[in-house]
Amino acid sequence: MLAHPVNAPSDLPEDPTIDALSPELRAAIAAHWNHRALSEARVALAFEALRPRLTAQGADAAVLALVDKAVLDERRHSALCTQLEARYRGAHAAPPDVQSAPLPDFATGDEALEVALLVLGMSCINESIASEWIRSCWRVASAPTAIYANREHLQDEIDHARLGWAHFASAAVSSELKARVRLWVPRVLDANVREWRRRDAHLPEGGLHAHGHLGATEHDEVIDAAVRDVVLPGLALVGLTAP
Amino acid sequence: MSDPRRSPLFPAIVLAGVSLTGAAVGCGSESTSGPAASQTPSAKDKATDGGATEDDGAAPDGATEEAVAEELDASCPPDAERETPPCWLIR
Repeated sequence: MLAHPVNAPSDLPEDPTIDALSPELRAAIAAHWNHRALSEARVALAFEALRPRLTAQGADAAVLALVDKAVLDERRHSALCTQLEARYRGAHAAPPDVQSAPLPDFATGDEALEVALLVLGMSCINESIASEWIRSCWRVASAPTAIYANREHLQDEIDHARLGWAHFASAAVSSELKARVRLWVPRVLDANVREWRRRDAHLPEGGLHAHGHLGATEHDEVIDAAVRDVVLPGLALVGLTAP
Repeated sequence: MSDPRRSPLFPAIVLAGVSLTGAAVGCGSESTSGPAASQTPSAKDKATDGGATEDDGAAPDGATEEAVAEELDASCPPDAERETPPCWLIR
């Protein structure tokens, strides 16, 4: 077996710390990246599906450009995650086979509101939490591969979060629409936080800092901090919380 | 009570995002000295890489994303272990 038989081509750095891990830990982390590869591929499809609906709502060109970038970023992230799976597994890893990722239907019968809620959930909330979470993973990491992977993800996730805030600050979202969105904010926020709290069961309870994995308690704390310090102030800034 | 200065991601994500499209409609920051500017992290906050201080320093009026980035660059020393300074988040 090769030391680092990653799926070529790979920009992953050399990392002897992976070889030093137990087979069980390598398998656990490989399973994590397998799951992440699937998630990233789904998010790419979700942004792709959102794009024409945003266009139809008159979204700002800057927002649409960031959506286009997000589609490409998430595809690249998925491929990177598969490389990471292979690196930790020490064997070839197959990319996820994802054909579709249906967007949530809020059943409002109001397309402008539906699109706004999708942006709220997917970008403003989910990607903002993701950015804070990845930043935290990056900060605890010391293994070269983990530092590289989290940095690669984070620099793009920030843009994916920005697009939501940019959309709600734009002329494409009227104050009347914001008033309708406000009624949904608690539900959409709760749904996102609930999903985020479902920590990857493959990983050790205490985490594995060197490889960028938070412990269970830290995981929850980071989510709370993201909501408290980024999402809620952001919602207030763009007028999505009650005056 | 939330404190947006506690995370460098608030300016990096929210303020930067709003600045892409928000000038035309205000979005709650009718002027450059409005809420967006007043919530910009102070240099002291950001020097802690996360700004988890209770410092009440406020950014100058008229702060923009570029100004925030410059201030971060000036206040955050490079982190050799991470190859890039904490402020690389602001691009």
